[in-house]
Parts: sequence; C-alpha cells; structure tokens
Amino acid sequence: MAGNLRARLARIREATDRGSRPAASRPAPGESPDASPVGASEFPDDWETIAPGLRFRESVRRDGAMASPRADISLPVFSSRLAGTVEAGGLLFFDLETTGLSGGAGTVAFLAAFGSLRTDGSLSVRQYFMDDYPYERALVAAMGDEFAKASAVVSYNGSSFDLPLYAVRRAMAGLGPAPSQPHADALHAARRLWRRSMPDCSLGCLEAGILGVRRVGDIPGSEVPAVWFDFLRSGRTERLGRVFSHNEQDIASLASLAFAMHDAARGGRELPSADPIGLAELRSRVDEDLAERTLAAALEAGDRRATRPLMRLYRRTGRTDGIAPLVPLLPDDPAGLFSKSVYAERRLRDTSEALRLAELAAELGRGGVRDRALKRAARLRARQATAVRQFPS
Amino acid sequence: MINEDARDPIDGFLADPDVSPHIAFVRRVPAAEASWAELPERLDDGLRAALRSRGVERLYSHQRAAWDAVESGEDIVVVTPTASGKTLCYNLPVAQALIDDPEARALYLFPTKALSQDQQAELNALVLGGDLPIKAATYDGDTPQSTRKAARDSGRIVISNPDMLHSGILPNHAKWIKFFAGLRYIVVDEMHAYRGVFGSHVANVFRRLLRVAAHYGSSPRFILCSATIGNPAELAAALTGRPVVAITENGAPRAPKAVAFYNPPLVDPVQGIRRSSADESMSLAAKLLASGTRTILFARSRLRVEILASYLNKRFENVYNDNNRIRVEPYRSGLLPNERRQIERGLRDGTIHGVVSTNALELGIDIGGLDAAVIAGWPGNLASFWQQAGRAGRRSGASMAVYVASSSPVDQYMLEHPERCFGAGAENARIDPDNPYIYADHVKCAAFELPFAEDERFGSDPEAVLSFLEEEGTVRLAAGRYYWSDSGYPAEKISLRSATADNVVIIDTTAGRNEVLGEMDRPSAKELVFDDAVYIHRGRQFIVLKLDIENRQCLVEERETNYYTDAVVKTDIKVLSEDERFGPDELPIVLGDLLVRSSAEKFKKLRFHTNENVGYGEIYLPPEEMQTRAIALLFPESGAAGSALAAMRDGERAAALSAFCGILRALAPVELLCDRGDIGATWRLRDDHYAVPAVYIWDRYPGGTGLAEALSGGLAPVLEAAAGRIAACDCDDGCPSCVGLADDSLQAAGRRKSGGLAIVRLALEALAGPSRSGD
Repeated sequence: MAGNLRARLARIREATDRGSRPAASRPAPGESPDASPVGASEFPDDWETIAPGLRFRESVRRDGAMASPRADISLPVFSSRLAGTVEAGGLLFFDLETTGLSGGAGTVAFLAAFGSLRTDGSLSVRQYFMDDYPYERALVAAMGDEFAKASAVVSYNGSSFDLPLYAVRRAMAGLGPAPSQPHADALHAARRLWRRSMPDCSLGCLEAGILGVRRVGDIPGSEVPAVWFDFLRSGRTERLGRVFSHNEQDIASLASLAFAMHDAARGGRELPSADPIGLAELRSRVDEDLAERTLAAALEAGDRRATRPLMRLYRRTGRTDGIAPLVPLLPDDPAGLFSKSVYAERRLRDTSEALRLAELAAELGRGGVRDRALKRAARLRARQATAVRQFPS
Repeated sequence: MINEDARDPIDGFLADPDVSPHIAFVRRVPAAEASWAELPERLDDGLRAALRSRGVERLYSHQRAAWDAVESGEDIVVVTPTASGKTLCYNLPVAQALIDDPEARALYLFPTKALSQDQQAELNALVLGGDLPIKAATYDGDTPQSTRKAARDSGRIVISNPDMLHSGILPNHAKWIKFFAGLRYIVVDEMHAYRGVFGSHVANVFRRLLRVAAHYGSSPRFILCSATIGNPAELAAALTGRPVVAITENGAPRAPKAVAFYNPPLVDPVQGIRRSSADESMSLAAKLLASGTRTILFARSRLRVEILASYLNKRFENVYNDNNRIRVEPYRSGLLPNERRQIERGLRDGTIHGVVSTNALELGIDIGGLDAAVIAGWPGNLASFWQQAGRAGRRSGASMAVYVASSSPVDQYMLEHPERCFGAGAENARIDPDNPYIYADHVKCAAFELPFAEDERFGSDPEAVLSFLEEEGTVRLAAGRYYWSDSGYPAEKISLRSATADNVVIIDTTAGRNEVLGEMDRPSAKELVFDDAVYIHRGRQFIVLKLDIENRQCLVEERETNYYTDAVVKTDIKVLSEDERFGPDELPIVLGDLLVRSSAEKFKKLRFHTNENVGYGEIYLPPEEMQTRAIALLFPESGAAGSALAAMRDGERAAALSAFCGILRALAPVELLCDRGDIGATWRLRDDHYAVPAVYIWDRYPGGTGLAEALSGGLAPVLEAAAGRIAACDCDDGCPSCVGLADDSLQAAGRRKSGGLAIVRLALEALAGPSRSGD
C-alpha cells in the first residue's frame, strides 16, 4: 500500500497543478548548504562570518535626532507597568525578520537587528543573519548575548510578536527561558499619540508621517519571507540586500520615534498630529504638573475629552474640590450626560433639567450606564410628581 | 404535565389502535443489577473522601477493571453504554497519578466543546470534593486569551478537543513544554465518533501528538471510551498506532426499557410504497407528547429536522391554551453555538418538552431524562441506533424507544432481522489514516511542528510526502532534516471534519439585515443552498438569493413558501488506477482510484406535507470533482453472472444490472459502519475501461476512508443480505424497499427484480468458490 502512496500523490498533484507553475521556477531538490547552486551571487562584503552559518555586520547611523547616551530615560512613558529610569545608552532597540506571521513552532527568525547609542550619540545597528536552518542555534545564542548587555529592551509590537517568537526559538534550540528584563513596546505609546490622527499606527506609517523618512526601493514586509526562501534555494542575494536595508531602517526609525515620544512626554519638543489627551496620559506617568497643564490647555481649546482625565488627575493629587466645577465641561456621551444630570440635580437644583439629561443618557446609553440612567430618570420623575402634588394648581 | 413514570404511557401507546397494527416487533429489555467491586487499596485518601462525598463507596466491575489495566501500564478502551459511569474509569487513575507525581499532566479530548464543558464541571466536582491539588482547565476555541497562559502553565488536566489540539496546541508546543514533558495520560472519550474522515484525521493528530511528546521525553498512555461497535480494540489500535486492551463487560445497573419496531402501512402494495416514515414518526411523536411524555425525535437530515419540528409545532398550535404548553425545538449542527446551548438547557430544566434532532444529539451531552425516543429511519448503524435509543430514560424509570422504518431496503431488512439489533453483531468502524490527502496534510503540520529527520518514522511513508513537499518548496532539506520553509501555517487551513476547510457562511439579508445564520461545508452547500433553494433555519424559511462560492458566502432572504427544494445530482466516473484484484476470475473485484464528477444541474420543488413535485429549477454551479478509492465489480462472460447478463435482452440487462447496483448500494452501509451518503455507486452495461458490464462503489470522501477496501473483502455478507431482502419483498417488480425505483424505460423492460436477484445469487456463488458447484 505504501508504494501506492507515491503514485497516488503524483496523480493528485497532476490534477491540481495543471500548468499553473512553469517548470523553470521549480527549485532543485535536496541541496545541501555547501553546494554552490547555479545563479548564486556574492554576499554583500560588509558582512563577516562570525560562526559557521552565522553572519554579522554593524552600521553606524548619524541621521535622525537621537539622544545623548547619558540622558535619563523614564520607562513609564512607554508603559504604566514599567518603573524607573535607565540611561539612554543602555536601551537596546530590536526587530526580527521572520519566515511568517504565526507564532507557532515552524516560524523562524532568520535576521535579527539590534540598535543602541554609541558614546558620540550616533546609533549603532548590529545585524545577525543565518545562512540556513541548521545554524539557527548560533543566531539565537547571539541574540541572547545582545539582550544580556541591555538595561531595557525596546521594540515595536514586540510584546505580541517578536518576544514570544524569540522565546519559542530559544525553546526549540534547547536553550532555557530568557532572563526577564524590562521591555518597552513603543507601539502602545504611539497608539495613544496617533491613533486618532493617523490611518494606522504601523511603524512605516508613522515613520513617513511623523519623522518624515522616505524609503527608496524598499521591499514590502509581506515579501520578506519569499526573499529568504529564494536565497536558500538559489543563493541569490540581490533582494536579500534590500531586506537588510529594510531591517536596518526599521531599527533607526524605531529609535528616532521612541526618543521623540519620550522627549515630548518630558515636556520637550512638540510632536506633529499628536493627540493632546494621549500626550497628557504619557506625561502623567512622569510629571503630573506637566500633564495638568497639557489637559487644561486642551480644555481651553475646546477639547472636552480632556475633562475626565483632568478630573481623575485632581482626584489623584488630592484636589477634589476642583472636580465638581468641571462637570458641565464633560462631553455629551452617556456617561457624561449622567454625571451632568447628577450635577443639575444636586448643585443646580434643577430637577427637570436633571431629568432631561438622565432620559437622554438612557436613550443613548447601553448596558450598565443605561440601567442606571433609567433608574435615575424614574426616581426624578417620582420626585417631580410629589413636588407637583405638594403644590396643586 | 410531565409524568415521572413513563410506563403507563408505554403500554397505552403500544395498545393504541392507530399504532398496534403496525408494530412489527417489541422487545422489553429487563432491568439489570449492578456488579460491584471494591475501591482499590492504594487509592489516595483524599480521593476516597472525594468519592464518598459524592455517594460512591464501591466501584462497578468495569471501573475496577479499567483501574487495574491502567495500573499495569496498558492502553485501554472501555466499551460500555452511556450512563454506566465511564468517567470514573479515567478520572480515578488520572487523579491518582497526578497526586503521586506533582509534575504529571493529563490531556482529555472530547469530540465537541459542549462535551468538554460538561466534563470540566464533573471533574471540578470530584476535585473540589476531596480538596485535591489537581487543577483542570479547558483549552479550546472559546477560552479567552487572558486565561490561556494559566491553562498552559498550571493546568494539570487540560480539557480540549481534537480540532484545538490540531490547530492551537500542537503548532504552539514550545509554549507547552512543562505540559508535554509531564504528559502521562491521554483520555479520549466517545471514541466511536472518530471514524470515517474525522477518525482518519484524528489518527494523524495523535501521531503528531505522540511525536511532540516524545520530543520532550514523555511516553503517555491512552485511556479511550467508546459506545458499542463491532471492533473497538481494532479502531482504538488504528487511532493510536498501538495495541489496546478492550474492557467490555458492563457492571452498571440498567433501568427497564421497551424497544418497538414500527412499520408504516403500505399505501401501494404493487409498487411497495409505504406511508412516509417521517410523517409517521411525527404522528407518533405528537401522540407521545400529547400524553405528557417528553420525547426526542431523531430525523435523518438537517432539512428533515426543520420540517418535522415545524410540523409538530403547528400540530400543537392553539392560541387558546398557549400551544397546549408543549414546546418542540429543532436541534442540528448548523445552529450557532448559543442556540444549541439554549435548547440543551431547556431540555434539562423542562421548559422544552420535545426535540427533533439529527445525530448531533447522539453524543453524550447531558440533557436530562427524556421518556421516549422516536427514531425516524435507520440511523445507519447499530451504535447510532443505541445511542439514539439511549436518549430515553437516561436517569431512571422505564422508558421506550420506537424505531419507525422507512421504505428503504436497509430499514425493511432491519425490520425483518430485529435480532441484529440485540445480538452481538455490531458494525465495524473504519478509518484510513494513510489516505493520501489526509496523511499529506498532517505530514505538513508535523513538519511545521518539528523538523523531520530523514529516516524518521511517522505513519506509512513520510519520505514520500516530504520529497513531494520539497519539490514544491514547502519544506527544505538541509543537513539531513526537512525544515518547514513556507510563510504559511498549515494547520490553519486544514479542517479535521470536512473535505475542505472552507465552510460557506449563510447570511440573512432580509430588510437590510446582515446576520450570520449558520455555516455549511462547501460541497454540501452546492447541493443544499444553491440559488433559489429554500433554506430552513429553526423553523424559519429563507430563499437563497445568491450562493457565492468563491467568497464562501450564501445570501438568503426570509420568505414563506409552500414548498421545499431538493437537488438532482448527476455523477460521472473515470478509472484512474487498478491497484489490487480480489475475487475469482469469473467475478473480479478491482480496487483502485476513481475520479468522480458530481454536478447538481437542476432541482425539484416539493410541496410541504404532500411532497408532490410542483416544479423544477436550474442550478448553475461548477461540478465537484474528486479522486477517491473505489471497487469495480466486473461481469465477464466467462463467469456465470456475466453470461447470464449476456443472455438477457438489452432492456432486461440494463434493468437487472441497475437493480443489482441499487440493492448493493442500499445494503452495503449495513456491513460497513457508514451512512448511506458515505458511498456512491453506479453501473455500466459496457464499461469504458474494462469493456464488460461493471458496477462501481466508491467512497464519497476524497482519497477514501477505508470503505472501498472494507467492501472488497466483505462483499459476500452484503450479497447475502441482498438476496434475502429481494426474496422477502412483497412488491411486484422492484420497489424502494428492495432494488429501488427506476426511470420509466427501465421499468418498462420488466423483470428488474427477478433479474437483479438472479445476478445477486450468481455473484454469491462465484464468490463462494468452485467447491460450491453442488456435486
């Protein structure tokens, strides 16, 4: 029966494969990495082989506004779950190029890039590349060495993708779990700042729209896996070079963006198209006064989304008297209408206005807010009725 | 309104003048006492306390036998009916092992999410009762992201299903290291569900599971539970890839039960037409419901379920007394999950009194006790029959199952041979884990999970598939291993339950809505929800506006119609290979690959209730093509059957051959454990490929699931059953209960029945061999 399997598979293939792929594109089977396939080209010469099957290169970038390596970086800017400060020079920016988007056991990283500030303020970008699957362990070990030298790691969407993938690759290579260290995923801060003004918060989009970086001849992320597979089969490196540049630019942009966001959060330069409410949130993690000024300015400019964060800030800083006067400035969403109804009833003693607001809140609201608004409206209506009864016409 | 003791209604029902003349057979299965055994000596005190707190001081004999076998390191399969305390057969040894070793883990697999959720509740009761350090966690498609990590890291019993294991757990095994390293037991409940295509997939998922476990250094044992089938140890061995000990003596007590066989009366004796079993079972169910008996009615198809439920509800429709306070719900697999949960709850708490279901409710979901089960038409196999009959009287107290035969040959055959239901001759379950489509898909998944070493063993021939994949570029051979070299994630696109992963989503677009009603697999969609088809969902009727196969969408609009639709499917075949030859030269049986093209080109419109044909419509959909396994039965003139055919007049020859094919196709499912829809058949007077008269029977699943192979070896019993059925049939010249109906030209030729019978008998003689020549 087993022999039949091959014949049956061949028939199935014939049936599904009717002339859909030209024979020429089919790769030569079973090539070992040592053979030199037809069509192979030279590897770019700024790479050196540092271990069998593992290549390395370092580039130094002086473009883009970075920071002084001695400057203090407040980690909470990037996530409210982080604490403390580290020196800018101790930050490690990193990004992986992989064979796919699933985090499963069959997705590998073949190229890893790491960036950090040098003493002169320029950005060193170090890239590691594996020639083929059998050399993966060396790549993963090299990544581990890089991580070990950092005080904190910065990525873009790394918490969902790159770091879990790295953990899987370590496990598959038989290495134990990586020692834990602070990790700042710049995507979260970026979303707070630009979710409302940009079509999406991908690094490419922000890089062009905020940092003004133009990539020439860039290779789209979706084509990257195919480039590596093609290199494996044919040895061709021209498109691989574009992948290296793409990866390097990702690090440079990540670093620029991270420093720019941090700077703005600390009260430094302005950021184009940044949402003042989002910026205030980042600022509140390092400087409540600065956050308050930001929110107050937004409120002054007519942005009612600033009201609630400002109220919370007053509560946090113990200035509860300032909260009530802000109520009329809440937006007209169901929760805001509810609060304004309470205000109208208790502060303004205007029951019919309070009722109107409660009914509107019930109409627009859903779930818990709606239930509470309905109860409130019912109570107010009852009050009105007794008031009328006390003063019969 | 609901009687606690259903006995009076049983006797009353059987004596009812509308019913009793048509009862062909009644068997009262007596109550049985329990057969007890002691709790094992070495059982942990905490476990003992947990059991005591649930009223368990002793074990049934089979529960103790299971414990003993597991202790001695065997893989086991426990084969006892529902409500026999099967769960303790696995919960006890697993709990003990987990107490003995803090690193030990176990995996529980159920065929559906509903079942696994039931089991988690049961486990928690056991664990909490004894305050045991055993955390059970469900891990399936419904598990929220936030709890997944905790389940992976600290769940000592992980409860899941094969689909999740296949696409969620195995491809991400590097996140489950502690679990796999400590894996001691794999519990597989409802093992009989893993047959046919689903079983063939699951066998491969188990191969991958054992491979990953071995990678982390563990060698877990299997504990399987199954309903009664003819070959539990064989199926278990085929699923797990290793020998399995079967424990079959049931030690649990049983309440008395009545099983009645009902044959709808003949409407046309000449043509052999009976009153429809669907209509008759509906009337019977209505009678039972009206007398206060909670009833489940099993129907053969999703369409029938909807139709019967709405007929029943219309029966009880009465504005003045709130529909007699009887509520009947349809239950089938196209319903959305929360709809199914609603119905299950209603049955448990008694707000729903009757249910019409397909075999979706066969499995062990706890729906409390129903008093009667009405089974409309033979469900295809004994295991299903007893599962369905077992739905009545699950708790205690007498109950009744009524089997209402249809006019199909299988049904009439079962009525004539009721001992088949009660004897030991249950059907055998088949799987084919080396079906090339299925096997290749799983080799891909396995390669994604761990690179394949060149000489690594995995199923029949991984090298064949890997070199195939390597030519495509999906895997890469480097330094003696095959690495996954594609950007995709193979398990995502592979469904364990259908030919193709793609389901068509059915969307309600009435009055600007955009609501998902349900789902259907693509090949079925072409035959059920083509443009202008009537689609019924929970009693509501819809017309299909557009079936968009490419985008896997079917747009429907709510509309009341007085008819339903039924597609007319044509099939065409082509021989691809001849792999093996069986049988004598006079009647060769050739096993090989076959190309089958099915196209639905038109459909009938049938009026509700009367089923009269009120029109036709056209279907414009591309045909479905598939390669599968088939046997060809040949009739060369050198054999007695072939020469008999040759001697007939032209019209008679076609009539006889079509009759032969018809009854073979109808009765083969009785021997194979499959549904009528799992096999296809056709006949050729002068076959293109073999140049002699031929009859083909193929497996309707691409690549085959072992049915053709099974039939090639088991043809004689099917032919014997065929001979018996035709001889016993009262019709004139063929009817749906024996050789089937034929179109007018064949009918006019006459001698269909006698011609068919002659060929069946000659074929039987040929298979029996030359020694049977009678001198």
